[in-house]
Parts: sequence; C-alpha cells; structure tokens
Amino acid sequence: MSAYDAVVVGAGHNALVTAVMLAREGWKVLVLERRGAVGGAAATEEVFPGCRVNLAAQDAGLFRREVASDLGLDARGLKWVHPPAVATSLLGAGEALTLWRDPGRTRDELEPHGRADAARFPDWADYLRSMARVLRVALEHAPPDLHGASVRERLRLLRPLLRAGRLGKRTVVELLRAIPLSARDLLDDWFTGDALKGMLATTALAGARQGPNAMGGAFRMFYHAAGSEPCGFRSTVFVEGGVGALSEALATAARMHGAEVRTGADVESILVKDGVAKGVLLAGGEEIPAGCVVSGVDPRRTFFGLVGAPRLGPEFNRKVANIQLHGTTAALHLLLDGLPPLPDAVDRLSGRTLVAPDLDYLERAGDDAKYGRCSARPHLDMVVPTLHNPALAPAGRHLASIQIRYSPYRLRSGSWADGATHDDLLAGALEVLDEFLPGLRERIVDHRLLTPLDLETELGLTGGDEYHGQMGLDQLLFMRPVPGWGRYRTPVERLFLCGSGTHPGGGVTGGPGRLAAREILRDGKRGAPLGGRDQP
Amino acid sequence: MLLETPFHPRTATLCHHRRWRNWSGYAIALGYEPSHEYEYYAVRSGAALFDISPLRKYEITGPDAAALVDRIVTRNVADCREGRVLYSPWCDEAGKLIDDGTVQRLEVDRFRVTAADPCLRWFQDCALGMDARVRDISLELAALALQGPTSRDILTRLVTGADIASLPYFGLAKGAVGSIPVTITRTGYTGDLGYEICVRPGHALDLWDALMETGRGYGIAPAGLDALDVTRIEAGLLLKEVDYVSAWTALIESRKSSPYEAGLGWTVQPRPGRDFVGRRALEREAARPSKWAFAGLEVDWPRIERRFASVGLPPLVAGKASREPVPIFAAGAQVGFVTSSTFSPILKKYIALATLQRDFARPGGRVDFELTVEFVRHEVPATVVETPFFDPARKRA
Amino acid sequence: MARSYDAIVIGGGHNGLVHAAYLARAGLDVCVLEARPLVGGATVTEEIFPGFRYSVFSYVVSLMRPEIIRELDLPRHGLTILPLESTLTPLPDGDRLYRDGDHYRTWREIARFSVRDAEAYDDYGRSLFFMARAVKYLLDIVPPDPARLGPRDISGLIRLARHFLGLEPEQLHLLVKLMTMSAADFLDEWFETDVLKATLSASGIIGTFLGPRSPGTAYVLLHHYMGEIDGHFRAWGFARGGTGAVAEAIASAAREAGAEIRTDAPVARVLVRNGRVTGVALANGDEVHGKVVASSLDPRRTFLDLLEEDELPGELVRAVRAFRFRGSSGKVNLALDAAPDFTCMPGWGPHLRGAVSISPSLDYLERAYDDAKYGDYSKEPYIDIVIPSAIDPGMAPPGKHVMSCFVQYAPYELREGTWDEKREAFGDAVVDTLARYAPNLRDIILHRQVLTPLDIERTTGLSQGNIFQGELSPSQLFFLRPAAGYAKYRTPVRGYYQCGSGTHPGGGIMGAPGKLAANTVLADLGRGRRGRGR
Repeated sequence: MSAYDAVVVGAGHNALVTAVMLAREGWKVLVLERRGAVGGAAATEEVFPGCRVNLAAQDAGLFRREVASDLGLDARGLKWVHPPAVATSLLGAGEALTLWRDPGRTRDELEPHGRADAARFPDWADYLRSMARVLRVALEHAPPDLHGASVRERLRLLRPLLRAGRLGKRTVVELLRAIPLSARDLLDDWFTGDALKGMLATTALAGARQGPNAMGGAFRMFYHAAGSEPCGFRSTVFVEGGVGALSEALATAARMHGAEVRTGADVESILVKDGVAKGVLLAGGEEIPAGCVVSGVDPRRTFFGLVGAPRLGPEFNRKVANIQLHGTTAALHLLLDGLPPLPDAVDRLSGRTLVAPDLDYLERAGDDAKYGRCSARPHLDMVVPTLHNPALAPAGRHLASIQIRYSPYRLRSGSWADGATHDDLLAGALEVLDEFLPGLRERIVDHRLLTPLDLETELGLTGGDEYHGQMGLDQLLFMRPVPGWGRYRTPVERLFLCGSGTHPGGGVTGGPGRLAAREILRDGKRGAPLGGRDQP
Repeated sequence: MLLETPFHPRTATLCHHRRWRNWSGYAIALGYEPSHEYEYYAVRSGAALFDISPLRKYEITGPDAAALVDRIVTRNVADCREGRVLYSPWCDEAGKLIDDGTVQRLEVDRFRVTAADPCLRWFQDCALGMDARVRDISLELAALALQGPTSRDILTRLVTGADIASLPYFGLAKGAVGSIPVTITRTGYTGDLGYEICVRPGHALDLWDALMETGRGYGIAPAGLDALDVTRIEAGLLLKEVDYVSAWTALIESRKSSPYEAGLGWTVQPRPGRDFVGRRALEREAARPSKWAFAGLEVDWPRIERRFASVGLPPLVAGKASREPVPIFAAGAQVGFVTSSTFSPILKKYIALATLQRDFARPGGRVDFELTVEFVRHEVPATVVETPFFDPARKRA
Repeated sequence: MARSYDAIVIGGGHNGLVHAAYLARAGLDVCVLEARPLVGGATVTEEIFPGFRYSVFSYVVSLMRPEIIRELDLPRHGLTILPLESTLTPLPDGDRLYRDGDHYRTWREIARFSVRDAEAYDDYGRSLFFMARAVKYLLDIVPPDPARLGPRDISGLIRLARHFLGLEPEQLHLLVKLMTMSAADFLDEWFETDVLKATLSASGIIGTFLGPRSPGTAYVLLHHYMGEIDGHFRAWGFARGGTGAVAEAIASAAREAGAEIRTDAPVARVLVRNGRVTGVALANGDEVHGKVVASSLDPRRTFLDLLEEDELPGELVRAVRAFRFRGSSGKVNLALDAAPDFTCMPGWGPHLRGAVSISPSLDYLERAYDDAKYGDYSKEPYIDIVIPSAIDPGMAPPGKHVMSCFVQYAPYELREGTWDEKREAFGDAVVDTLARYAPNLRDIILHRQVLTPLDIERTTGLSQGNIFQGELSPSQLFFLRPAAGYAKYRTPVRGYYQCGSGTHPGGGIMGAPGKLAANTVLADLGRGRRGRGR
C-alpha cells in the first residue's frame, strides 16, 4: 500500500494548483521540490542581501481571478496590485510612450504620436479583449481527444464549441483568421505609428523565438491578453510580495487540505514497473511509492530525465525529442540606489518598461537569434517591482528585473558556460539600456544575470524555455506537449503531466495544473484503475 | 544505376545469360544459366554459392548493446549466448512488422544484425538514452551463403581456426580461409544445411576463389536468386515486401502485418520485465487474435495437371517461383490470398505461402486456389499444411 | 452596338479560360476578355528574342487538376506534358546534391551526407504523399462558410470534419504541423543535412514573403507536393511548347465549345444596376453586356478596381484591402548560345533536363529573405532554374537553349530606389550568383529578360506581382480566400463571380478555381453540374 495517492514532482505554480485540487478531494498528496523554496519559475527569492527578487516570472496577470478565489487564495491574504502604467516604451533621448490603465490618459498620451492611432486604440483594446474571450474557451477545456473519442467524449467536445459560438460566429471566424497572422500583419491593419506597433508587438514575442514577422504572433498576443484586463496590451497584474507570494499561497492552501510539501527533495527518477508508475526515487536514495505520479516538470525532462527514454517507445521518444524547446531570454536583475531621471518615473515605470522602439528593431533582434547569436541590439522588457512593492528592497533601493531578448540557449559559437559570453551579453544589454534609459546605469549597485543555461540549471527549464515548449501554433491543444498526448496522460500508466508543457501552455496561468487535476480526478473517480491509456 | 558487389568481377564472368536483378541497388544474378534448375539441385544435393552482399548489416556495441537488441527485436535476446545467432523480426510500437533478419552475438556486448532494408535510423532511435552504439557496416562486409549438403565438408576442409564440423545450427564461429579472416554462421535462406560467411570486401575475390576451388569436388555451383526463391518457399521462409509488407512501406493500415499474422507468433517472446518495442500491442493481439493468419498450402497437383490437360497443355506452372498474389476461396467466397508459390522439384508438389482468415488457416483445412489456364480462371483444391514444406534432418544435425 | 452574352469572363489566364470552357460546354454563350494580345495571363510562352521561346512567367506544370485535363480533353487540343524528374543543388565547394527518379542512386547520394537522412527521405516522401492525399480533398470542394452556417455549410463542415478525423492520428498530427510550422523546423524532424533541408524547404518559400525559418512555410511545401500527373503525386512536368501551351489548349477547348475569346480588350469597369451585374465597360469605352460576369483577376482588381466601393459592403472592402499580396519573386529568362556547364556536374547530362536549385543552405535562403524583409532584393538569391529546351527542342534553335530562372526574393516594395532603376542590377545579381556555379554562363548569354515584381504586375495585372494572386497563408486560404463570407465564388453583386487564383484553392496552374466557380455559376443558373456541349 502506498502512503500517498499522488506524488507531485516539482512545486511550480501549476504543480501546486494540481496538488491543491487533488488534496481537497481527500487525496493524500506529497509535493516534492528540488529547490529550497516553492514556485519554480514563479518564485521570489533573496538575490541581493535584504532584497526579494522575482527570479523569472514577474507578474501573474494570466492567473485567473476566479481560479484564485476557487482555490481559496484570496482568503490566504493574496493581494493583487494594479499599477497605473500598463507598459512604457522607451524611445531614446528621454522620450517615452506609456499605455495607462486609464483609457483617457492613454488617449492623451497617444495623441501626439498620431491622431488616427489614438482614436483607434479603444477599438483595438475591445478587439483584443473579444479575441481573448473566445480564445479563453479553448484555454479552459482539456483539448479534445480526436481519435479515442467515444460518443460521450465527442459530446463533451461540443460544449466549448457552443460556448464559443455564443460569443458570435463572426468573432469566432475573425479569431480563426487572425490567429495565424504575424504581429506585424495584425498591427499593420490597425495602426501606423512605429512606436505603438513595436510596443504592442512585444506581447507576441514571449513564448517564441521568432520576431514580430512570424506567423502565430497574433495568437500569442491574444493568449497574453486572456487574463485580467489587458488594456490593449497584455494582462499585467502584480502580486504583493512578489510573484512568489502566489506560489506560497498555493503551497499553504495545499497544506491546509492535508498535502505535504517538501522542499530540498530532488526527484532523481520516476519508478516505472511494467509500464506503470509506482512512485519516485529521491537523489538521496529514498523511494517513495505512490498511487500515481504527477509531473510539473517540463515534458522532455520528465520523459528523458525522470522516466528514461528506454522505458518509452522510440516513436514516442521521437516526438519528445521534437518538442520545440527554445530558450531565448536571459534575466538580468539589478539593484538600484534610485530611479533613473525619467520624467514621471514613478508612474511610467510602474508597469512593463520596454526597449522596442519599432517592429524592425525587434525583427532585427530576432534575426540574430535565427543564426544562433545574441541580439546585437536586444529587446528589453523591464519591471521595477519596488515601485508597487517597496517592501521587496530596503528603503531607498529599487529593483529592476529585465528580460533580455534574444539570448538563444543554443549558440552557434561560444558557450553560456564561458564567462566571456556572459559578460558580452551583460555589456550589450547595459549599453542599450543606457541609450534608452540614460542615467539608469549610474544607479546600479549590484546585478545578477541568469543566462538561458542558468535558467536550465537553476530552475530546471530544459533548453532555458520558460514556457516548457514554444507557444507556436504547432504546439497547442492536442499537439501539446506531444501530438496525441494532449490530455495530461502519458504512455506510462499512472504518470500524468501538469506543467506548462501541457495545454493551454506557459505563463503564470494555473491552467495546465487545473485541467490536469480534473483529468486525474476523472480517472480516479470512475473506479477504473488510475492512470494512462495504452500507447497508440 | 546499379552498383556492383565486391564479388561482381567473378559473378559477372559466370553470369553468361546476363540475368540480373536489382537487389537493394545492386546487380545480383537471378541465375547463371538459362534455367535455375541445376542451381536448385546444387542446394539440395551439393553446394550452392550465393552472393548476399546487398543485405544491410549493423554493428551494435557498448555496455547496453544486449539491452538495446533486446528492446528492438521480438525474440528474447537473453537466449542468445555469445557465439550464437537468432532469427527475429522487429516491430513498430503498434506491433506491426518492420523487417526481419539475424542477430549475431559476436561478443557479450557486440552484436551484428542483418536486415533486408536500411534500419540505421530506427536502431539509433531505439538506442536513445542507452549506452550503446549502432553503426551501419553494410559497406564494410561482403557476404556469401554456401548452402547444401556438402557445404560442411567444403568449409571443414577450407576453414582454419574454427571447428566447423561441430558448429551447431544457428551457431557462429570466427576463423580463417587461408589468411583471410571470416565470420561464419550456420544460417541460411534455403532450409538446408548451410552457412553464411562474412568477409572484408578486399578479400572477397580470394574467398570466392577458394570456395569455388575447394568446392569443385563437392558439386559447388554459383547460384542466383531464382533458385533461392524456390528453396526459401520450400523452407517456409518469408520474404519482406512479398509475404508481408513492412509497416514503413505499407500505404494503408490494412497492408501491415503483425508477427502473429505472418506466422511469426513464435518469435514474440515476452518475459516479465522485458519491454521490447511493440510489446503492449502484441500482448493485446495475443489476447484478441487477429482475423488473419499465415498458412502453408499444398495445391492439388493432379488437378492442376488435369486443368491444363483439358486444353491440351502440359502444366505450365512448373518452373520458377511466383510472387504474384493469387486469391484463395472457400465455398466461393474469398478468404485470403497466396503471396508466394512454387512447384517444388524435390517434393513434386505445388506449394504456396498464404495469408488466410484464421478459421481457414488450420492445418488440414481445405480451400480453393485460383488457377488461370489459357486466360480462364479456375479453382483447384488446396490443403493447409504446416511449414516448412521441406525440412531435412541435415539442416539441424 | 453592345453585344450581349450569357456570360463574360474577365481575364484570359488559365483560370478564366477553364471557367469559360466549362460555361460554354454547359451551353452558355460566353465571351472572354483579355487585356493582352495573347491569352494565358501568367501562363504564356512568348518569343521575346528571335528563335527563343520563353515560358515568361510560370514555367512548370504539376497542379493542373487531372479531371480538367480529362473533361476538357486537353491532349486533343495540343497539351503534352514532358517529365521533369531531377533536382540538382550545386554547392559552393563544387559538391552537389542530385536527386532523380533512380531511388537507389538518390539514396546513395543523400547517404553521402547522412545515412540517417537517406533513410528518413523515404519516410518523408511517404508522409507527404499521405498529406497530399488528405488535403487533395479540399481542392475539389467549395469551402463551407462557418460565418454563415447555412444548411449546406453545416453539412459541408461535418463532411470536412469527418474527412480529417478519418485520417490516422499520426497523419492528422502531421497535417497540423504542416499547417503551422516553418519549413525548416518541419524538416528538422526528419533530416540533419543542411543542403537537403534547404532544397526541400525552397519549395516551401516559393511565392511567399517568408523565409524557411518562418512559421507557415511548411504548408506551401505541401502545396508543391500536390501535383498529380497520370495519377502520380509529386510529378512535375513541362508543357511542350512552354506553359503558354496549357493556356492555348484550354482556349482551344473553350472555343470549340463555342466561347468567344477577345484579346486586346482590357476591361475598365464592371457595370452594375440595382445590385445586379449588367456587363462590363472596356478601356476603349465599348460596353459588353452579359447576364453573368466572372472575374479571374485577383481580389483587389476584382473588387476595388472594377467596382465602385459603394457597391460593396464595408467589411468586404476592408478585408480585400487587408488581403496580402506582397510579390516576392522575380524572373530572369536567358537565351543561351550553348548549354550551361555546372562545375559540380560538368558537361551535358540528364541533370540539365531537370531543375537546378540554388539553395545551398538554410542560412543562405534565410539571408536572402533577410535582405528582402528590409526592402531590398536578395544579393544572393534563391534561384529555381529549368532549361526547357533541354527536353523540348522547339523552345530554342538547335544547340542553343532557353533558361528560366525563378528568383526569390525580390520584394515589390523597395525601401530605396525604384525597380525601374534597379532592374538591371537585380539581373546582374542573378547572373553573378549563377556564374559562381556555372562559370561559362556569362559568356553564353545572348539575351536577358529581367522581370521584377513590378514588371509582373504591369504585364499580367497581378497585384504587387504576387504569382498566386495573394499569399497562400493560413489566413488567406479556404473559407478565408479571399475573405470570410465571400469564399464561394459569389460576390455581393448579383451575377458577378470570382474565378481566379485569389479564390479557393489558390494559385498555381491548377484550374480548380475556374472550374469550381463554373459549377457555382451553373448551379445558380439552374443548369446543374453536368453541362453538355452543344
């Protein structure tokens, strides 16, 4: 008899969501986290003395509020923060263009850059919201199982279709038309201003290694707008105490329902016997038997690292090897002794601050990545969390967390293990920062750069891919994490996936964890043996 | 453009009638004389020498080599000790046949696998996560098959460094012919006493010459694919893409075959903890058998003769083996098809390999074989029999 | 005096002619109006230089629907398709990748680079065969409209779902990948050899303004695998006498069925009264009247040039304005004094009867795209070369040759300068690139015709010089081609139809839009599908 009904590998936010949902159904759940703190890529830790830094994810705008309430997080003191600025684009020479949470203020801001664009912006914001609303229907259901489908299964498939249909046939058709578009094509149809288009296009870049010309960019724009009010940009909501506070609230909720959460517990392998998962083996040699194993770790690491390729079929392994995992960002954390001399800095820097002056700038940055090198002039995406969370740093100090894109995990020449590569990336980023936000450099007291390789070794993100697999149109729905295995089950019976590598995908959304938990519970409830189906 | 094997300078001189076939991109003799009859009898009463160099050969080495081979093939590799050879097919994850060949265990962690068609990518992909290396050594080895009752005597006289006389059926030995190192396995595709010999291409001609020279007193004859085809049908051995279609080349699902459907059910050897590719699917099939099964058929020869005689002809089917599919009926309804058939000169019977609906595939079952005589189709009775049709004691002795 | 017809077809390109032929065979009195002095549109053969006949624009045939060839009996009207079997990719170091109809030789050629790839190549070919078979279904149906959801749309969508769900799971997954991935990523799943991936991906970028690493290019890769000649998928060929022979054969079939074809008759406007078409006005002011008018021109011309905006709903005008053309290719036609001599395969040989692809590596193609992305032609372009005279002696005087070079990328919009200024420099870049692989080329050129996207637009009327009448991107395919709600060949103007490559299933010398549109017209006229000749 196993002591646990389920062992959850990893304590990223999705794994924790799954743990909460299983535990509150009375399952005996154990969560195992290799690191010292929960959260995975959604963790807030002391990087500089006395400062708490969001290691990778900066905000939780995609984490649905209803889900948070449902899991009882609000009751555990979780507080959301909505700063006045949504995003600010730095245009050089002290110029900046800000999208504000207040639509009127945004209009005033955009007017000088182009009246037509300013006038269209509210329509754009509505458009983005309505596209995101239809898309959300797909994001809130487990992807259809097109082949094993029983009649009951097919009827289940109809429900989201009908739900989407109620939002308007024309909207659905427009979504189908728009999803494959590139960010550039979509934005060209709306706006003329280079600065505005460059800024908006950045929401298409996360989760992909291509620039704004790439097909499918519009999908990522909608995806990133599918959380709280996107204000024409992307859903950006911060968490008091840092994004790690969300993960900790989830861990607390899990414990409240009786789950155990162990940190510093490094799972070395998943124990499989005759095609059935039996538990896990810790690095120290401890074996933990369990009724089922749920992995929040990315799919390639789960299958190749924890299960082992020889335990899986070669055709399945080919699919796992073919998962598009491409880290393209590095994270630069800065400790500052003050804000840069940007007018109205406290407000303007309160959202996302971008170096993305126009579409060509972004595209050229992406071109470098195509040839396996870091962008000569990178796109930067900065958050200054201390503006809305002063307690994260000692008084008088500020923190800035910057994503440097593109910094490809796979370099054609050189290696991330080499200090020179690291230094070049840092120097290049600071140079661009100095050009677009003069005066910031002088404020730097300390810094910490996490290269894509660091993201892999420290946070376990294979290939440095924060999304556990690119958010291209080829890796969605029943194609995620690998074609035909989109329902959280795996070829190993009683082994499930619940991380960002599964549908609906990456970001701090909680979606994969929630949908995975539902499927696991469904397998458990039917009384049928818990676990996967046969290999196709 | 067809390539020449390392033996080509010899075979080309002997192949007076220029009867060649494209075997995997190489020119291989169908027969050295106008008819293959003499070559056939060399297999059954003397010794026949076949150039089998176009077979693909792979070397699998490393600490996990045995585990890898065990993962690839359906048979249990633990049963194959060093110095032994195994025949086995291999399947995809759905349990459908990909290819078949021999597995030679040269050393504890060194194997040689032969295949009809290229499999490097598959073997390497099966090796993912294992400490084993797969190398395509097809071009590094030339191969001959010496088949027939006198083959042992020839090799015993010729080979040093290996005890040919006591080499068991499916045994493997390393030795030398003169100064030429060779690997000899007691295997073949004729169902007779016989050996297959691998050699470096640079030594190919010397080996050929030595065998032909020593073999002269033992009735040796170079033989081609026509003779091979008749003997392999008599031995009940399958030919890929003729008797079964590889899962990789089948354009539609229904053309694929499982080992069970191809009469190779005996090669599916699960043991606890053993997880070869396709195991789960094959377990499912074992529990719920397919409607198709493999069968050997003996077609009523007097009836064939009579059919031909009725239009004033001798039985024109006698002769070469046929790879033409032929429908099989029972009570007027089609219940399967023949994939290979031949007149067996030694059995004096017309025999066939067939895929039949399971209910009709039991030994002793009666079905009807479609025979076309002078452009008119007829049915002649046939009986399901066990294979091999011809199984001389010397094969294993 | 305005003559009146049952149906007027605007544009005598291959789709316009197919359309006219089917209408005429159904007994309609049809008139085709072509602006140029010869029929064919982009499917023409012209003797630009004495004795040398260029397939000026499109140059190979594969996609032409077999049932059209059969139903219009095109072989009797002079259509002969000669085989095009091999592809040679020369490499800068003097090596090459040469693939032809000899399976084992091709296997060994690829195995020189990678045995794994040689094995994967068969698997790849088979997979694309399945994909082509799955998608071919779409070529023969009118796309159902999910925005309207009439009874026919619903049944069409159900049939469609059943068709695709009827595929093997692996095939369905592959299809999704094909629809969404970049050619480079898609090919990475099979191959490791750069030159092989580059050459295969080249067919994914033809006619698009995308590079091999741009998502969405894998689909075009399939579009070029859907060709069918004599029942074989992926068969390519030359029309004997150049591609113009295809148009002439269709024109001959149309004439035989009673259609009238007028050349030098550019249409200026479509005449509409009370929301119903009444005919067309020619550029010279003449009017031609007809109950039905079908435009085989691209959507921009069909709607925005030939009609007044106020005759159309706003949503359609917006959609057509957003419809993307972005011509990205040019054409260089050369008359040669002798055969080109490729360093990697010197002298005369069967490789000259096939295609020669200048696509040595993925980076090469990607860099070519980068040039174009920022508004310039590729300094070292991708070039797809055929030498029709090597198999069709009628194309050039004995011993001499015509060489057709399809060149990518040549963006319609240049950031600096104009095409009229840069045309010859572009031609030089092409010849310089080619001369690197065939050093004798410069010395044997007798005549050179350089066609930029602007020239293609000026001559053929194709907006922005897009050879497919609009990009073949997922947002512009099927029920979205040319716009949601208007993809069934009808237009908001009663009696006015679209029948060009800007409609489903799209560009290439396929004829399917012309035929499917004819079915729609005939159904609307109550003549049913099965027309009879007179």
